[in-house]
Amino acid sequence: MKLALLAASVLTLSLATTPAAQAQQKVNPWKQCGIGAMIFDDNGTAAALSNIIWDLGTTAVTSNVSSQNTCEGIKVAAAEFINSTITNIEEETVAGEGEHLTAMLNLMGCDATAHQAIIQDVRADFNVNVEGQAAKAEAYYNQLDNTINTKFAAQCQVI
Amino acid sequence: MKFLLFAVCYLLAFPAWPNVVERLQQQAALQDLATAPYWLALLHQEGVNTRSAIVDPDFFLASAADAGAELNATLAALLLPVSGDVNAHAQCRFIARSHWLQQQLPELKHQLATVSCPLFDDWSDQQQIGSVSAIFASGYLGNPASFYGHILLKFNSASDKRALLQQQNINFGAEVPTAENPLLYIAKGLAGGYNAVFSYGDFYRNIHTYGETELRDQWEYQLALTDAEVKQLLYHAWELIGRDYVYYFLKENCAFRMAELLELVVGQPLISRRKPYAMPISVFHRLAEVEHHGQPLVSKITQHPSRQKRLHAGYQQSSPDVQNAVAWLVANNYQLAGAAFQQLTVAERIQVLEILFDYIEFLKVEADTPELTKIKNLLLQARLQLPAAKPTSLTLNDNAPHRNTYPSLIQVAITDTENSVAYDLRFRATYYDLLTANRDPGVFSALAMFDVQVRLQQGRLALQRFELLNIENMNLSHTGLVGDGGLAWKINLGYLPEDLVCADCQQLQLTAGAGKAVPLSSGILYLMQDARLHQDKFQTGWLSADSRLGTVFDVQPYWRLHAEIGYRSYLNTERDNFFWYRLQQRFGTSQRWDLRLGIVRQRATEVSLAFSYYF
Repeated sequence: MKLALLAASVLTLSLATTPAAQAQQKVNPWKQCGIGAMIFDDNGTAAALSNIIWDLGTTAVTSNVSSQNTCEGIKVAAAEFINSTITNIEEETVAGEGEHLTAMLNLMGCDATAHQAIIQDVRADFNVNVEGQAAKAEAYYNQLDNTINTKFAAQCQVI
Repeated sequence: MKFLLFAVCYLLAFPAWPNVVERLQQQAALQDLATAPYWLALLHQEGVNTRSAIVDPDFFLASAADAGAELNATLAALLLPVSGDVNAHAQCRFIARSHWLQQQLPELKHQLATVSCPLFDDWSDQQQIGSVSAIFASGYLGNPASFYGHILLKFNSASDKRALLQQQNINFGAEVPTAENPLLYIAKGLAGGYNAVFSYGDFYRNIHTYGETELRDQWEYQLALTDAEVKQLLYHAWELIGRDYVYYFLKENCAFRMAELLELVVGQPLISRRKPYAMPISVFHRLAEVEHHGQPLVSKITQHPSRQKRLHAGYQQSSPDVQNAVAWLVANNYQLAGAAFQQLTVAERIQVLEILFDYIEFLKVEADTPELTKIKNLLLQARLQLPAAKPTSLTLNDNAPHRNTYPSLIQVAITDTENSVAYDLRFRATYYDLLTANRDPGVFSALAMFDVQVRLQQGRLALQRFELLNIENMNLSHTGLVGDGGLAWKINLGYLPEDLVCADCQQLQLTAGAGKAVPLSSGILYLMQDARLHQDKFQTGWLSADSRLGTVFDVQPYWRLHAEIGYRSYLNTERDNFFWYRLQQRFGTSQRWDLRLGIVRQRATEVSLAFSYYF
């Protein structure tokens, strides 16, 4: 009976938490959200204006103003960040720390106490020789996502 | 009894006991809220019936030129029931208006339905903003609109889940079509041909665009505002995002609009309304002067260095062994197996690699080649093989921008010419020349616009010279590495004396020059070749050239000297070529004034003593 109750509880909990979690698992920002096609604008004004505009009748879309189960989700914000700053992220990953890594792991919803361990893990298998900036960013994101899902899921609950 | 008296008075004041909206509108009218400076500031109107600076009709519920009608319409909209998208409700669209009206009309607060605004809450990090910073992005010669720097605001989240790079910032800029013709861009920017909006984004985008791509330092001035003031700013910034203004390059630009926004809570002028132009740096001078609640308004200043600045600081602050290894690796195709690198300690090798990261990325700004990417990967791999360690911390000793000399100049001079004594009055709108004090150490450049000088001589007042634009960039190398530094260059457009022989020898001139400057211990030495295109009013022909050899150096911190000798050659004309020289000296290190003593020989000689006042 206890076992049945436990099983029922687990099932209930899993049903209650699955949709958001599944949505997070499913989204590949590069394949489904066009992250790889994004080009970071070199023009300051244009870059600044590219992520406007809150206007009635449309939806504000920025990295953080988003629902959690679409291409506006929090992992996509992290992917966007990685895609835009992969140069700095690479440099900080080989060094083992840095403010870009902190921001990136915050965006992945990871607790600060786990940051160092995650970075160490990524650093241990880091491949610097991927060809092309966009491919580097995608490979990095995939490695990070995999590391988090397999080893740090508990410390990286999406906020 | 008191309550009864109040009720009677109230009934006398509002005999018909109108519905809630009308009652609140009447209360607002009694209190004359429509003329309150704060209400007008929220509408961006100078007076009750003047037209708002915002040209976006969606910013208004009734009228862009009637603050009273807008107030009544706002009250009515705030009291409407929520239907459809809650974010579209007036309580979410006009949070600052709602907040202020609730403070002025206590009954309104009780009458309003409780509304949560998810978009605003997401944008404002659930309203956890703890402080606000003004950011100064230093000048950028790659874009005329950025010569004088840029200003934006950063909302600093109090949440420990938001790091520096995730902070929210707002920006004000013109909406310029991609690949706009540069001349059209300047013309339309000056004439109000573009709309401009406040936009928002994460701070990492600024770090990337300004710091990595345009190699501009950013200076963060954190402001000592109360929690209530931070909220006021946040609320109004939200109202402004995406709303169209007309953009004027000279005056109603980012500096003007950001200052205007900050004035809402600072309560003191932060930008001059009288000056016909507004510069970002002027806002920072002012922020540093202002006291707010009895304390300096600026509580903390932080420099976010560009990639170039990190390269220079990293190189200059490293040991000779590290510098030698860097230079050797650059010169020897990055052979990391070489003794110059391998004989260093682990910490030194890490430092070498960090400097080279910055160097390669600095080079990539100019030309991002596959070869550079390959080198970068090689360096990353080398760093990966060394232990993880905190990156070397750099000491940055640049002057904070507000410590620079003020940007505009008024100068009076007495000049001894070969004919008689003359009295000169000079005005320069912006910004600095090779003698200006309080610039960054080791940077020698000039950037001046609208520099006009009139002369009173023998009872006659006349225009002596007018320079629309003068830019000189010595482009010094700070590391000696290939690609750091390059050709010095100059461009000048003005109506200038051809020489000093006659009083009326001015003609239109366009000068472009190139050369090389090298650093000295406390100055520079340069050699330049200028080409001059000018009018032919004095048998000068259309073309001439100046070959110049000069030096600028600090004799003492308070005494800078600029000496230059040159030879002018006229092409396709019989006019005589001639040697010339000038010696200019600046005394003083104040941000507000200096004394200048100069002698110039160009066929005739002039000696002048000038007092400069900066503002």
